[in-house]
Amino acid sequence: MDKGGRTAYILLIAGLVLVIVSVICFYFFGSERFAYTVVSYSIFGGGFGLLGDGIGRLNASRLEKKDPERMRLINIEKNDERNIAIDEKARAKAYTLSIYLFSAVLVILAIMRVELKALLIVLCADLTVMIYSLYIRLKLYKEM
Amino acid sequence: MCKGDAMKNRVEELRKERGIKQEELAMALEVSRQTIGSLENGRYNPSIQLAFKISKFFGLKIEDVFIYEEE
Repeated sequence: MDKGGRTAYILLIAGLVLVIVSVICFYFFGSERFAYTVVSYSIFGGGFGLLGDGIGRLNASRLEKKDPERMRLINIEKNDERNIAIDEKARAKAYTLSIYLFSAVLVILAIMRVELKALLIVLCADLTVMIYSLYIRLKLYKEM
Repeated sequence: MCKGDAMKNRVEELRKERGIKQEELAMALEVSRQTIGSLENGRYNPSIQLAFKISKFFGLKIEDVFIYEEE
């Protein structure tokens, strides 16, 4: 089995295990505490995410063996420099929008007089995004 | 390159001279057909790697394919 196929099976199995564990957790401990319900739901979501990724990779791996020409076309589309440039530009625009949105949400939450804890969580998320952007910018200044 | 400056190219002209379809050129350069279309229309400027690849494909120098025009 090739590396892609092996990774796909590992992800499939890990996803299945997580889904089963989350169902068991919810069944046995879900009603005990709210936190347990949240944890089991999160594991359930993560498990299905891995499962979906595994199925996608497995399909790609099978297609590569069955129809290498089609797979080559898919890879060309995926690695096409214009598509990558468009994707990066779209992400950059979305980041700019997110900064304005975070600010608007903070103002709205403050007007609504929500609990300070909730306000600080949103503020932390906003700052994390900005600091991460700054970190990447400084990293790229050194590398490029 | 400043904002007002433009880069033109002779990709469409060279491709038609050689009787090559956009799809065929795209396949040879390992890019999508849309990229070739955008290049020919001047909507997209290629990376330096792709520019070299294109020039190599046509057997020309990079400055014979891509023309830089200052404002």
